[in-house]
Amino acid sequence: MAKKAAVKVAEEKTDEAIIGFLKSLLEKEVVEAILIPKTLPSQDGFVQTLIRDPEKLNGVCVFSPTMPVQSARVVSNLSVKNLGKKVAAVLKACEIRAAVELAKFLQVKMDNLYLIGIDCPGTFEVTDYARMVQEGKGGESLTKELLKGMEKGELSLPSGYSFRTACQMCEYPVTQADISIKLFGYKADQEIGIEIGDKLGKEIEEKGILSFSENGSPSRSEVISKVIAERTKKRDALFQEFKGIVKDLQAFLDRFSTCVRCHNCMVACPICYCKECVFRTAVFEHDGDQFLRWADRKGEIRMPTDTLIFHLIRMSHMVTSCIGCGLCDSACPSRLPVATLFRSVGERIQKMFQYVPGRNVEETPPVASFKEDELKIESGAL
Amino acid sequence: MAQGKKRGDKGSALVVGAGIAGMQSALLLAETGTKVFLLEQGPAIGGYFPLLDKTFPTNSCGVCFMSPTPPAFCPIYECHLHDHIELLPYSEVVGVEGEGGDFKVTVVRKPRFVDPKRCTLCEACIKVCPVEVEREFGGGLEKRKAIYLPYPQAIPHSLVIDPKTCTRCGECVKVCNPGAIDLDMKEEEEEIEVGAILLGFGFEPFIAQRKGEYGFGRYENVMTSIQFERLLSTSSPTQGLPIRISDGKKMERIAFIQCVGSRDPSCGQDHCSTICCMYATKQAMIAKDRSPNLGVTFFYMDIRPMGKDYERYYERAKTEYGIEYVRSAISSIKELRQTKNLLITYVKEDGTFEEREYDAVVLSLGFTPPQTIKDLAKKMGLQLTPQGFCQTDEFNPAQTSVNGIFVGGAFRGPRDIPETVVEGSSAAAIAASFLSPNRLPQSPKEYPMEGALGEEIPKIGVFICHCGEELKKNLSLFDLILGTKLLREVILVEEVGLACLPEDLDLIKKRIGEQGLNRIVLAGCSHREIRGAMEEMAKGMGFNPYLIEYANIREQCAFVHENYPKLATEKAMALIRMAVERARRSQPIQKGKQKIDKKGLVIGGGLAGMTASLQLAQQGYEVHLVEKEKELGGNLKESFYTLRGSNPRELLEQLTKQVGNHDSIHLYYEAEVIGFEKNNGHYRTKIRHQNVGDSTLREEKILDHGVLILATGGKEITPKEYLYGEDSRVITQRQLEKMIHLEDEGLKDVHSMVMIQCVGSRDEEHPYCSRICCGHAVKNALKLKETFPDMNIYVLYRDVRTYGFYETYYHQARGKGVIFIRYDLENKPQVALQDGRFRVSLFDPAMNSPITLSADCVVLSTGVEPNDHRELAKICDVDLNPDGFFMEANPKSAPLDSVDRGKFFCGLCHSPNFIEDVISQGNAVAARGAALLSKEAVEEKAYLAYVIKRLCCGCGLCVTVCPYGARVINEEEGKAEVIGSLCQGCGSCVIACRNAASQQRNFEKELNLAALDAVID
Repeated sequence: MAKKAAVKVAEEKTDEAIIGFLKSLLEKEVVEAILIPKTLPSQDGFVQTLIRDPEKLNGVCVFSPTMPVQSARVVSNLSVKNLGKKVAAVLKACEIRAAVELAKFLQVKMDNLYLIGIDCPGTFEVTDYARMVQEGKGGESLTKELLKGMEKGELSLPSGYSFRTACQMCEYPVTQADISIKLFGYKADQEIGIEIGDKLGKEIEEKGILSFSENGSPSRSEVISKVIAERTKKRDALFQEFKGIVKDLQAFLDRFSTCVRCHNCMVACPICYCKECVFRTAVFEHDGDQFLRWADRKGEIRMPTDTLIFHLIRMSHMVTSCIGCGLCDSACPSRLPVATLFRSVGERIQKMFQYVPGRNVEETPPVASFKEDELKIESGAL
Repeated sequence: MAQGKKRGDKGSALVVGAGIAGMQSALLLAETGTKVFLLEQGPAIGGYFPLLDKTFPTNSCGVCFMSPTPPAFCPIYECHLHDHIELLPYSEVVGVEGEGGDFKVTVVRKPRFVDPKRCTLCEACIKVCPVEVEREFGGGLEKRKAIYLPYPQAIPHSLVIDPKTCTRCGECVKVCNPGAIDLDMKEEEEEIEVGAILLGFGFEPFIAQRKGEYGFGRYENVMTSIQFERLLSTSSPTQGLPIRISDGKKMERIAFIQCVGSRDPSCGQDHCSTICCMYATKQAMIAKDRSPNLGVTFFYMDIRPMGKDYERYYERAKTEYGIEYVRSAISSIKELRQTKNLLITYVKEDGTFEEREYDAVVLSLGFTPPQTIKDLAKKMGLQLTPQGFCQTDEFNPAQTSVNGIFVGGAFRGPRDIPETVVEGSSAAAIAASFLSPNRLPQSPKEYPMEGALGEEIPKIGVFICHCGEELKKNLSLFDLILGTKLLREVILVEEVGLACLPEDLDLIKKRIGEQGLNRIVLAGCSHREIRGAMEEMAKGMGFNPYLIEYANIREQCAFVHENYPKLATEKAMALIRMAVERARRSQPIQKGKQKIDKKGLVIGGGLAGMTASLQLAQQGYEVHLVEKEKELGGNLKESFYTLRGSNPRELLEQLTKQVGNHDSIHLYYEAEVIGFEKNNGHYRTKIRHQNVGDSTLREEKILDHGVLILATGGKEITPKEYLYGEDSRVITQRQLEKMIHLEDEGLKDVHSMVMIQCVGSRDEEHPYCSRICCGHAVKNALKLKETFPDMNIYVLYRDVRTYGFYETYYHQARGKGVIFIRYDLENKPQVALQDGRFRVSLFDPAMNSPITLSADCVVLSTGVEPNDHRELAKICDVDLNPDGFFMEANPKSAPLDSVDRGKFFCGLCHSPNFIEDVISQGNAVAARGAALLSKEAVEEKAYLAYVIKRLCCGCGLCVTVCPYGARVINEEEGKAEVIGSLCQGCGSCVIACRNAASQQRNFEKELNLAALDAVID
């Protein structure tokens, strides 16, 4: 059973309350390092930082409202080989779900890894946030505003700015993690919630880091439902809009005609875990006369020839596990709505296999399991 | 008569009958290095197997798992290709002289009238043949010509002329370009010398006309189960759909009538045919898969799915498929004049009559021994059972009454495929032990060294074979040659007439030498036809056979598109382009070898383990036998007599003595397995056991071995109901057996005894049938009736499952006054104590009312459960099924094998079985293990998968999808690896791998894509 605690916030400094808790994890040797976003010296962005020295926790930004990289990838690098000491990672919900998905493919090893999740109101594009800081709309004032909004689930953003599309349609604002920091439904300038999973509950209690009680925010679940409902509505509207595009292959492929083949989507995607993508090897190289023969047969061919097949193959690899973080969107220089397209397809495929990516490490992804009766395709029957 | 030839020696074996059992015996013997003659009376080998579209309980085919060499290929092809097996198709044994160890067998080779060496299967003759008759294959559902191919995949793959119907008009001879047909061919007699004979005669279906009342032959929509099986095959005239052949009407309701020619002394068939309940259920399920709205009713007496996982299958048929089972007796079947539907009148269990109408009726035919072998049996001096099957000793089930003649499979009685495979293997084991003193080593063929052709720039020679002018009719060879000449790295294009004949093979050989060719493309017939001859030619001249590519421009172009010569030629050109592109990139393959540790480890010293150990030891291998108790014997110690009347005490005594005294068997008592490692063909097991000298000392020991046999047994389920444990007069059948054996005084006072069946079987906790309990009850009841004829014995049952010849004992028990009353799971009997006696109340369906029986003793027929193997399974890396029994690689065709070749299961840890079947299993695993141990090294497959480590990210998907356990993650590197000796080259891992880190030799991604590019050019 998960253990619950309410943590008082002094002087309306929510971040310091959380940092204080994290510090005690290091000091009392519950973990020996913490991975957490830290504000850049320029103040207009954040970067994941692996911290050993508790003092270095000063200046971290637990609420970092951008996602420059998918930290599941960072966690993968960190844990996949010889992670000899216990490490905690502070992640957003979609990063935790991606890490869970990667664990199923042995790309994240959970043995010495502890995931700390924090309620997520949504994130901004990195470039948007930098501009916000310049305009004086970022930093502490933004954090305060967001935390305030999270109490009732009514977020108001600086005018002219909105969350990333993926965040607007994300149905997972809260996390399931070894430690979950709860903000929705809390007056965060006075109190926040912390929930500790089975992996750490006993130790944290014994070391006296937290005192547990069942008291929490009475409105929390209601607020969360409200946020999820809004986002689901947005999601369904977008899916509806994209229905025409994903209904057949041609329409789908047409949408990709402006792709510049930079492979940024692949680099950004946490699920694309291959060491070296097959599209970067010689497999799809052809001789000049081969291209000429094709051009000869069809009159013309579009070059390079592997642009669309790249997206199709990438989709076939990641779509059942797509957790919808939308970083492919953010990374696309052509502003292709890759994330929404793939989520629209993924949604249907995940449903087909009754599979929810990122939910539980114990679940087997459809690609790694075979059931005799799955996907019955009507054929040959009278 | 043609001149007789003489072949063979005292070390070789003759297998008569090339069905499932015969093929199994032949393959195993051949694998252990014995020369085998495999004789089949029909024109093609395979027995009934090719008829089956799907098999129970998996509803999949899976026969390719059956071969003792790694599971990859069909046993029919394996027999065809094995160096040590010589096929004698279309032959008969006419005389056997001599004795065990030295037989002289006279064999008559019947004339095919077609020379398989020259016949190219162009089928020109079939088109002109004017004679059309019923096709035997599939019970006469279709037609064939007098010259015909028995079935499309038949081996030998050659046509044959049926002399009974051929009119000798000679049309076929005129159109045969290769001159393969000779209508004057005569039968040939030859004498074969062998040391042992194995009988795999199989069975014949009961002749349905003998049960005239069911209307087969008179009513057009009454069909036999053989015909229905054929109908459901996707290659049938209805493409596998349940449609009436007579009028093309879609079947909406069909009925299966069970026990046609089984359990029926009135037509001389007093045995149960064992498999009809299951095969009919399978047919019903397949039919419903094909036509989901089909209504299916079974009319039956008892349903007998008593094999491993069969009960679940039957439950699935009822619940998932909605198949209806009606316990009844058929009163009459009438055909309705208008619709040709059938009206069935039947008597229900409670004696009331009902009528129902069906579109078709399927008769589930029972099985008889083959009628044609009676003479032969007499010549050999074989003793037969009253039913005409082969008589064997209960404790030596593969041994016939004649020394040196062995038997397995359905000739011993009706059997399902797993049992047939087990018995075929068992017969091979006994024969191998018998032959081992006389066996001559078979020296492998030697070939010249190969040149380093892979290094050179490709010089491709393309040979286009026109199949004796046949392909010229539909393909423009001129265009093909012209097109091929343009392809890169092709330096020679040449037309040949019949590449399968030595003349043309010599020509190809000559060209390779003259032109310095280092890659060959053969465009002609299917590679299945020509590959053998081409590879032999290539190896003979030091040319790596994997540098030859094949383009099938015959079956896939000229034949299927015979009316579109232009398109057929285009397609042929595309296939040639494809083959050339492959050839440009293909590399020579040297097959790797894995050395074998020639020792066996047997875990469990009960009947199964002792049998397996002894058999392996007798074949000359060292065996470690590990037993957890202080002494050998296991459950056999608790057995005192068998249903067939043999004495298990003698068996126990004899076996423990033989095992204990055998020099090659090392025994470890009070031992446990504590560690296990697998390393390419070697196993290393760590055990802890009792020191022989010092009883207080526990010792650890490491054992190296090449084969692991798990025979860890099972136990009687401890009943939790019916006052067991509360009253000492409630006992189990096993306790009763001991009391009878010890002539317990208490039995004298028993006037009335109630036996309750299925205690701990077929219920929620144990959802399987324990198979032996019905026989056990009948055995004890009969024994009691001998001594106490006046004792009232009631057997309360759910289905009586006295399968096979045990049925006759059931019949006997009823005759002696044992009363059988049926009950349902929902309505179990209630046992209560009243005035010192038991009152057993239940609902009697025959009387349609509740009844109460008084009893002095209640005997529970408890089921069998496996010992707790969870720890052992984890250590040894084998799987358990949901019931805790070890899980086989394939329930049908590799029933005792783990997916990881080299590990085997037998005895009660595999499934509940009678002593006789456990012995067969023990022998069988020994034979399967010996097939492995007999080699110095195991040759790997050619087209192995490999891993490009730079690309591999160790995600483990390839490990999950590999069906052969040939993939592991190297934990240290975090990369996948291939275990060469296990890889079958199926390519699953290649597909699963997302960035082509997993590749397959000569099927590399680049190569495949180039071939695809060539075809869509």
